[in-house]
Amino acid sequence: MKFYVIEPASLTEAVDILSQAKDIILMAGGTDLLVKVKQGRLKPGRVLSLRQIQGLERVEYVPGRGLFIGPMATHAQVAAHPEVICRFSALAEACSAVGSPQIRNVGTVAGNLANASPAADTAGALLALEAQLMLMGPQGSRRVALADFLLGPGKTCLGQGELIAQIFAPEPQLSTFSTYLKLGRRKAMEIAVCSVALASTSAGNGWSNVQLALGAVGPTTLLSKQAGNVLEGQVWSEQVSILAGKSAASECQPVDDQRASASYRRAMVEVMVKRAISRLEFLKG
Amino acid sequence: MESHVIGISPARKDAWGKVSGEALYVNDVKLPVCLEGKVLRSPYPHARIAGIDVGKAMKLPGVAAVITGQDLPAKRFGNSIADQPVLARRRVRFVGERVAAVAAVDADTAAEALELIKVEYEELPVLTDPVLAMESGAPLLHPKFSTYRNAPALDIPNVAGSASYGTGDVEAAFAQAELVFEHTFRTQVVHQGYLEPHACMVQSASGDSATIWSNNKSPFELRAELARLLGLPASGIEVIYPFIGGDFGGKGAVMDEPVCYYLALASGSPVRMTMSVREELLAANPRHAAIITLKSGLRKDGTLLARQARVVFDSGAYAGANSHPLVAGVRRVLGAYRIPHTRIDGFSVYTNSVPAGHCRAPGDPQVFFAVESHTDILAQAVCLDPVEFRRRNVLLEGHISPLGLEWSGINALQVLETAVMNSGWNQPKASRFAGRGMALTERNTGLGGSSALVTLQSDGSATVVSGATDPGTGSHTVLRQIAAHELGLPLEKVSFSGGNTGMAPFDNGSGSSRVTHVTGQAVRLAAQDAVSQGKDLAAAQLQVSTTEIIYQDGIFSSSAGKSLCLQEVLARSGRAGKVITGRGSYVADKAGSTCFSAQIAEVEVDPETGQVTVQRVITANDIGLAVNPETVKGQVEGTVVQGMGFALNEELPRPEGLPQVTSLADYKLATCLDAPTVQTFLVEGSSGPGPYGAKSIGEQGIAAVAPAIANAVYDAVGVRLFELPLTAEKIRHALQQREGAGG
Repeated sequence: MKFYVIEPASLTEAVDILSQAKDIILMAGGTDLLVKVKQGRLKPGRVLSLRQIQGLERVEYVPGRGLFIGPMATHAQVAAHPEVICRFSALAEACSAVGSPQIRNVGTVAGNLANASPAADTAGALLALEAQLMLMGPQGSRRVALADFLLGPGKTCLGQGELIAQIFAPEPQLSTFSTYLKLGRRKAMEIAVCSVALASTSAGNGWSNVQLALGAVGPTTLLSKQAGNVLEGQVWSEQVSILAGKSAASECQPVDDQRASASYRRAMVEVMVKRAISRLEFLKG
Repeated sequence: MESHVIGISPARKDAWGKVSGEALYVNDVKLPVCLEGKVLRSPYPHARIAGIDVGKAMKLPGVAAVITGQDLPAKRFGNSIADQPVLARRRVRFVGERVAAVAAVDADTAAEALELIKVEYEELPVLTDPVLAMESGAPLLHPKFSTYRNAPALDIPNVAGSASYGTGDVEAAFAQAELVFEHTFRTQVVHQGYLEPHACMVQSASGDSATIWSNNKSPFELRAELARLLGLPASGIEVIYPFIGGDFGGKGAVMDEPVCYYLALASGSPVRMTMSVREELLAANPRHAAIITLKSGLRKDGTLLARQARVVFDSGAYAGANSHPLVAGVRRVLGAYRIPHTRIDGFSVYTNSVPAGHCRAPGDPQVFFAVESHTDILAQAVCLDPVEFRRRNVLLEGHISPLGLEWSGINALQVLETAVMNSGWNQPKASRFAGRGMALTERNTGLGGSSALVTLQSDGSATVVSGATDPGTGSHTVLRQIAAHELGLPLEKVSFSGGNTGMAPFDNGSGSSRVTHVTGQAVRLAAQDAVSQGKDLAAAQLQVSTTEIIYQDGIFSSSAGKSLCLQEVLARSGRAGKVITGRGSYVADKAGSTCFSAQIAEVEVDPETGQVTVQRVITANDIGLAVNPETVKGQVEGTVVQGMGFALNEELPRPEGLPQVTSLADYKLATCLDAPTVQTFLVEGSSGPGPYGAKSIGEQGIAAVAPAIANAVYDAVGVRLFELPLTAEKIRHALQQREGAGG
């Protein structure tokens, strides 16, 4: 296949070009996009690549503010970042769970979000970490919560000419722990059968500010509010853990496909939520 | 045996080129002008073609040719039964069947042209279940079956191949048996999983000859079948075969070569074709699905008295990709045991599924999953440890096989004990949900014929010329080792040459675990012939009789103490008529020997998710003699990982004939992270038919993996599954059902 590649020198220029024509597709790492193009599922006339723009691969942690991830930062970069490993461990775990070393070296976190697969590994972790996205478009910049960004399979709130200029995860409170667990049929090159991301702050014996995200069990990666409420402010006894698992299972909306049945996915949400809870208890020590 | 080069594991000569990218594969070969060919495939599992309109496609700029079945001679092809059309004629029989083909200046234009072809289909009833397809009154997928070349005379609907085997009187034995058990097992369609897809390129300027580049692993068989199909003499077809990027049985059948040839004729230009991964999963020739029913009669002490099997292979829409319409593994369904009364009824049945073909040990993983699972159930029924049950019934030297064959060198018990001894079989397990399972299998030592040449060069080096392909197995290195041993030369001085059916002598192709045995024997004989010719030349030069000449390590010496080295013999022998090219030919004896393997799998089952982790596989393999031990171990490790994929995750389901898995994202080949620790123990010393007593290794390890894992899962959590793959979802479902039943 043939297509023209446009490589602007700045994000502003990229937005200008994108907003002028509808047949231009934005490419970050290209690990999803180029597969679709090669399979003929997508026939772009032009592809706008962000590759030549300086500084977009930046991953920066600013104490007291949080984590800033540029749109060209790869999964491998984020997974290896010491502050991400230490303070945003769900994200480091999620980035390590993506595809294979080759894909992690090229694929980007922003691309993973914009691709909006319900099974996207980084989306769950970033939802649990209450991430926000800075979008840049012809009308200027706006900030949206990741939860509002993801609208459905392959659907986001990105408007014509808009792109993800930055991903931001706020500084977690002291004693916050997070984890990402993925269930698949093999240990690499895998699209999750179901995934769970959990972040929470240890407060006395109990836990507060609970954020529980579920992947591959609904039209988007989703926050499980009910199960979060079950866990909020509680000591996580075995009973509470079981209840939270059941609650998350009832809240998710899985479908049958060739990877797993809906009923198996629902049952696995229950199991994985319980395991995420145990994992946080373990991390707390 | 004592040798400077047999039993060692030198680095492969091709290894560096494959890592650096210097090694050439079919798609690396470029012609100055070459079109891209693509085929339009049927979206329906069964339909009548009411009409095809190629008008728009023909008019697309850049399109050089568009052909349909109507444009081609009404001939069919196949390795045995010639049942496959080059392009569908009037009827399509599976989703993925070739309906039309285009040659264009580039792949994009060819793909665009395919979209412009309008095909009118009228859907027909779909046959998906081979058991229903063979019932009387079932609609016939091949109404003209009896007219196909090599079609057996059969009168069961849709049966492409059928046979019965056995010895003794099973019915009487079942009547006398204290215990009788019957179980039915099912296995799924899996792809061979080679990295390089099928690719070919055809040049035929005049139509009276053709040059064909292909990654077919049996280029001489390909040439023979193309000669029949295209109406050309075999001598008019030259098949050039560069490196092959994996095969595992899947590259021994005719694939796109005929359609590529007709596109080349129609366009007047060379054409190349490469299947996409999607096409590979849709329309290559994967492993047969099978339904296997086993019935055994035994004494309460666990002695097997009788065993009966009914095996139904789902052949898919065509059987032509197979060298036997009835998959050869059917004959091994009774296991490696001493059973006086036996019967096998085997069938290969047409359905509207993908045409199945050869896949590493055709039929074996299917039948051994059944028989070795069944064997564990029997052991439990008579309260015997699975190892002890096998010890009591295993074939020993001097026994005849369950089908009445007399094998030499039976060491099945030694192989079994080697695996058991190295596994800690009776030791405590690692955790509550850990399990151990074993399986014992048997496989013949390779068939077919081969000729080889060994040419001695005037500088004292030598070249092996053989038609055997090396689809990544290391066989060329092994063949060089054999020649180097016979010639007494260092391995570096022996090269391998082949790659072209016009220049290399005949070889069956790299299949049925045969290259070391069959081609190896041809090379050994050719090298011996070269030495013998060298002795004649040396004797003439030293003016003694040939019988006085002794050859060792490149030196010819007479009993009088005079000697000449290889260079001297060839240098003094002048130019005319005194070159040395040794020739060797060999044909394998059909049923003379077999080899055994035993495997023990250690698994951990996650009772909440149903996931199985295979932690370690201990494997003992009867190898006779390992010419190149590391290569042998590489084969064994490969079979374990491939067998594990078959056991746990790989499948190509087609409910109602509609493929569900068409990408490698959903076709769950095991990754290196999933691979277990493999501990391989080579059992040498049984006398094999290959050079220096070698047996075979390419396929023998694969069949034991699935039953060993299935038996280990049972040992771990008490769940017995009769249908592969053992997915997490199935295991969890079975665990839940057992809990629901209060078990």
